[in-house]
Amino acid sequence: MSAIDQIGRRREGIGGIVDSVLEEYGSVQGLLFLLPTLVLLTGIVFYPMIQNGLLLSLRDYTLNPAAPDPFVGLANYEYWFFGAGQALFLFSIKVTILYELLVVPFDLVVALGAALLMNERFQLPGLGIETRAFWRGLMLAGYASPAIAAGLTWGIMQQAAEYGIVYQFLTQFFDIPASGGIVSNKPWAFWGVVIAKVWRDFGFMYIVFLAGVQSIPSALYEISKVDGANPIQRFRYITLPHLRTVIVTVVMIRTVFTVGKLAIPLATTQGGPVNYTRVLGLVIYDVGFGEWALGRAAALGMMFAVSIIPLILLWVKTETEDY
Amino acid sequence: MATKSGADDFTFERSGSKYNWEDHYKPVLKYVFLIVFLSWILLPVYYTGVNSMKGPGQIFKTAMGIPYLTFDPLPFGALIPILLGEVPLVPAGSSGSFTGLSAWRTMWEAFPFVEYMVATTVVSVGTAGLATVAAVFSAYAFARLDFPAKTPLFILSVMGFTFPIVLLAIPIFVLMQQLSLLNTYLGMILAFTAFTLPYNIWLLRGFFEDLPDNLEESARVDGCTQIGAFFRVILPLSRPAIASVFLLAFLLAWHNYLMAFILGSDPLHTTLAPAILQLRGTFFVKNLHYIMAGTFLSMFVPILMYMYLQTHLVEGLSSGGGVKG
Repeated sequence: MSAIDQIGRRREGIGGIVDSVLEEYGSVQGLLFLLPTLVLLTGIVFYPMIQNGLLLSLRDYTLNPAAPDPFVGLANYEYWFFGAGQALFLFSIKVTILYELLVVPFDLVVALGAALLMNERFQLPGLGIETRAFWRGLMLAGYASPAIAAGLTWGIMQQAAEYGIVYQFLTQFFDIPASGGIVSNKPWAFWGVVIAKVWRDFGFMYIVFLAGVQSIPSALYEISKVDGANPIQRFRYITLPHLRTVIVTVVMIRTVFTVGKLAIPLATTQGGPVNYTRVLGLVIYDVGFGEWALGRAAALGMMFAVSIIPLILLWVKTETEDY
Repeated sequence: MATKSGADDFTFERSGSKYNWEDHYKPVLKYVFLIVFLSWILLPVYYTGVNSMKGPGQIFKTAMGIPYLTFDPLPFGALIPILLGEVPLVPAGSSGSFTGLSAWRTMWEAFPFVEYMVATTVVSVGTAGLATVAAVFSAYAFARLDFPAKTPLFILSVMGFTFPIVLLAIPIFVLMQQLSLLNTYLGMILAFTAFTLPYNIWLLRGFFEDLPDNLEESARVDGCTQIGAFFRVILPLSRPAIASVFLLAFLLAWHNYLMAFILGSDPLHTTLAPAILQLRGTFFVKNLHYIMAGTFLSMFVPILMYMYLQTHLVEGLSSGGGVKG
């Protein structure tokens, strides 16, 4: 194709050559911009995922890097589906799904509440100084701290001891066994992990919702107030419809990002009592880097990856559909 | 409450009683909610901060209390070295008392916190730099250029971020073992880039898309080349956004546990997050204040950064919108 300028007339001479080169080059230019990213991602994501993820799952990993790993076919997959790992596999799937079903809605409710609250004004009485920005920043304390530190602290606070203040508080209302406290008794450990996880994670949704709430014109609220709508009606008929798309997107993101996380259960309960809070990510971590059965762990990881690909594609679709 | 004056003429009398209830209680209620919320959010921060300054006995007595002195009153001058942690522990026989910052000092010196901090900072800065530079170019391409296979390439690029890190951990561990990059900063930086780069691409693409369409065109009219327009117009405009994306990548690397744990079995080449978890094994419950000190120190820096980042992020995003408006 040769260079044709906007009027549809071919340009002559040097200018025409430059134009035609640029035009030829134009579609490749985007790829040139992409080059560093593609090289990096190929090196550290795609190549290892295929070479060391997919192929390793068909092998029995030996700790000696010099020795070849024997090829065992589908034995690693068989281990999880029909072999000794079946019980743990099925149980941890259940745990992971339950974990998602508790964490994401709690995240949503807490974050929405925080965003609505932080949309209010907090003027110091008498002085007229607006303190809202400061509280808004403090709300992010959980999201800012490392998940490991959060899990560790909540785990300590949930122990049945004099210093376990969360246990001391909750034991006033619930009958929590004194041996083991929240972190090592059956129904409670799960809630302990969920509290820590929501504390750590709701900040992300909170930031997104805060931006969403701020974009709602305040005139809508004033008009509806004049028309006699109460706060619940205003939330139901103004706030929620405005935030609907944001809520759908964010819930999807959170679902995808929570699914493989393991730091909070690891630091809070270490997966216990027995396997009660051992989410799938933690199983992979334990089998891979605790027992050093990397082949088995890779097999589990591959199944995990395949099962969440639809979730990821759904998310990417909502991300890209308006363009 | 405003006095009855001209502004109130707009109030509808008929529905007045209904709103008075709300106007009356809302100012109180919102402070109640604020206090409840913040006490839940600041609880772990307060708990670790306060207990890091107490001896074990005092932690067992009042975990929520403010550290207090249990021994005979000292002249004020004698308190200063205790506060600074220069006197390692309080007088004999009172193991349960106020320890000042001595636990922090122990963390800093004995538990090699300084080394962990250095390692974490090097790795986080390296990761953020690499991820941001690569992401600026590719996010620009995804947002504003046309090229073949754009959508599939975008999905592939962002996938690394949505993929759980634990699934990348095993392949990357084996790769780094083959390249003998275990226990090196380079290996860790490369591994962390696997999930920070897609995140940065995703964020920056959104920002570049919000810039007005005709920016490059006007630069081209003024005589810039396409690439010149990118370097001279787009990059300077997006400096705040790039800065916040850099900081977010920095914090993502700072917070990561799994990759740092598997790639840094050597304690001096691992980052803060795995080191914090080691605290639980290293110190028994008897020495809870050491665990508290380490945890508090690891939370402190990112919390400060986030509070700074919050305003910075708003600036970065609003300047993008400002160009548009």
